[in-house]
Amino acid sequence: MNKARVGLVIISILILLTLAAGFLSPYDPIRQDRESALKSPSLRHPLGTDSLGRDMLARLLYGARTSLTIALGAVIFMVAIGLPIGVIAGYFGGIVDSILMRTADVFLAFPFVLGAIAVMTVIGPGARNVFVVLAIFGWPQIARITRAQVKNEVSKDYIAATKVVGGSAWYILWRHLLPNTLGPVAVYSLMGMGTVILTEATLSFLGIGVQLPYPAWGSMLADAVGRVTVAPWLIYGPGAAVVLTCLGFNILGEALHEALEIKI
Amino acid sequence: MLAFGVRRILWVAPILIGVTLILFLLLHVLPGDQARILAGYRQPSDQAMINIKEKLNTEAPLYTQYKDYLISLGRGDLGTSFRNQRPVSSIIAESLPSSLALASFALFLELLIGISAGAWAAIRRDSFFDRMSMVSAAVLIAMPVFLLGLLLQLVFGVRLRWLPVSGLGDGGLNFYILPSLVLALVAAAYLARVTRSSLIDVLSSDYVQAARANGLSSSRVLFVHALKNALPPIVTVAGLHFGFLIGSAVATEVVFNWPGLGHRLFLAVLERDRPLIIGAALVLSTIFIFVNLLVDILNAWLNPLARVDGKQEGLEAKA
Repeated sequence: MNKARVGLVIISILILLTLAAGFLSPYDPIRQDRESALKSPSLRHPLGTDSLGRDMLARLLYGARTSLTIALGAVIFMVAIGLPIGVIAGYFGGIVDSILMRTADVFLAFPFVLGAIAVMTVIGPGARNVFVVLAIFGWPQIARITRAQVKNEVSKDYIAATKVVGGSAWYILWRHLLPNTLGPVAVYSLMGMGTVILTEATLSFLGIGVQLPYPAWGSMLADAVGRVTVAPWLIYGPGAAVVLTCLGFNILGEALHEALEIKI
Repeated sequence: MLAFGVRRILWVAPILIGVTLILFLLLHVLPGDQARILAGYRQPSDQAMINIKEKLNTEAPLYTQYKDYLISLGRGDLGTSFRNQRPVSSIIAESLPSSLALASFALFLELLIGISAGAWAAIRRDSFFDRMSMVSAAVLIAMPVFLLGLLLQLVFGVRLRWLPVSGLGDGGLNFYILPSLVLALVAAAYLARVTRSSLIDVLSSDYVQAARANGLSSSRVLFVHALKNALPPIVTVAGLHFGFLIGSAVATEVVFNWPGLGHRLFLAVLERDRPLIIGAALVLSTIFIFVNLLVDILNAWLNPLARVDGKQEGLEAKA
C-alpha cells in the first residue's frame, strides 16, 4: 500500500495548491507586463516570468485548476457514455452487442490526438470543447471494460437465480451488474486521469485546447518552443507539474489495481 | 491460420466505412461555414456564395454526397486545401516521407531500448537496474512527449552542443537522433514494462524450468524458449501504441520544427484548413487500422491459441 500512499500524497498536495492559488501568488495569471518579460527566477517571481511578462507561479497554480477540472470533467463524461453502453452490450449480447462494440472499434481506430484535432477544428477550440473531444474518443475504452465485467458477471449463478425468482432485466442491471462493475471502472478511470491530463496538455500545446490568455500547462510549455536557449525556466515549472500530476494518478491507479486484483 | 487471416481482413471493411463516415460528417457538417472560408475573408456577395455552394454540391442529399465522397476517395482525391488551393493528396504525399523516415527510425530505437531494458530488468529482477528502469519508465509514461523534446533540446543541443535541435538540415543522421529518441523513449517505456512482466511470467513457467533442468544454457533458454513465448503481449502493446506514436509525432515535429506531416498538420490547424486536416486524419487512421491488422495476424502466427479463440477474444485480451 506504500504506492497508494505516495499517489494520494501527490494528489492531495496538488489539490491544496490549487485551492490556495490566490493565496500563494499575489500576481494575476492573465495580466501582461511587458517590462518584466522573460525574467529568470527571483524572489519576486519564484519561477520567473513568461514571454509576455506574466508570473509563471501564478499561471502554474491557476493552470492546475484548469487541468484538474478538465480531466475530472472529461473522465466523468467518458464514464457517463461508456458505462451504460458497456452494461447494455454485455447484458443483452447478440446484435445489440455487435453494433455497439463495432461502433466503439470505429472510434478506437482514430489515433487519439489526431481524432481530437480533427473534431476540434470543426467544433472550434476552447476548454469546453476539450471535454467533448476527450469524451468522444475516450468512452470506447470504458465501454469495453464494463462490457467484459458484465459478461463475466452475467454467467454467474446468482444472476440465473435472480432470473428464476422473477427479477426483471432492469432489476438485475441496476442492483447486481452496475454495482459489480463500478470498482474496475473507477480504477480504470483513475488511471485514465493521467492520460487525459497528457492529452489536454498536448491539445493546449498545439494551440487548440485551452485558449490564451487562460493559463494551462500545455500552452505554457508551448511558450517555451524556440526559447529554451534563452529562458530554460519556462519548462521547469509546468513540466514538473504535468509529470508529477500524471505520476500521482498513475501510481494511485496502479496501486488500487493491484490491491483489488482487477483484470483489465 | 488462413481462415483467421481472411476473417480479420474482412473485419477491416466496416471499420473503414465507419471512419470515412465520421470524417465525411466532420467535413460536411457545416457547409455554410466551409463556403464562407472558401470565399475568402472579404464579405462575399450572395451570388459568390451560391456559386461556391453549387461547386461543393451542398444541396444534394447527404447520402449522395457521402457516395460522391467515397468515389473521389477511391480515385485518390482527398479534396483541395483551403489555403493554397492545392490537392490535399499531393500535400500529404510530399510531407509524409520525412515523417515515415522519422517514425521508422523511432520504431527501431523503441524496440531496441524497450525490449532490451525490459528483458534485462526481468532477468536481473529486483536489482538496481530493474528498479531504476521501472522508475524511469513510470516517469516517462507520465511525461508529455513535447516536454521530453524540450528537455533533450536543452541538454544535448544547448548545454552540451552535441546535436542539432531543429529541422532536417542536410538530411544527415545527426538531425534524426534527438526527435526520434524523443518519440522512441516514451513508447519504449510502455514496451519495457510489458516485456518485463511477460518475461517474468514465462521464466517462472514449468517448461522453462524443465529446459534449465535438462541442462540447456541459460542464454539458449532465454533467447530460444522464453523470449519467443513472451512476444505476443509485447507485439500487442507495440501495435496499440502505434496510434499513440502518431499523436506524439505531431507534437515532436512541432518542437523540432521537423518538415513532416505532423508539422504540416499543426500549420493546418492554425489556418483552419479543414480539408487538409480531415485528409491527413483519414490517411493516418487508415495506416493505424492496417498496423493493428498486421499485429493481430502476427500474434495469431506467434500464438496459435489466438487463432482458435477468434477475433472476439483477441480483442478482449487487448482491452
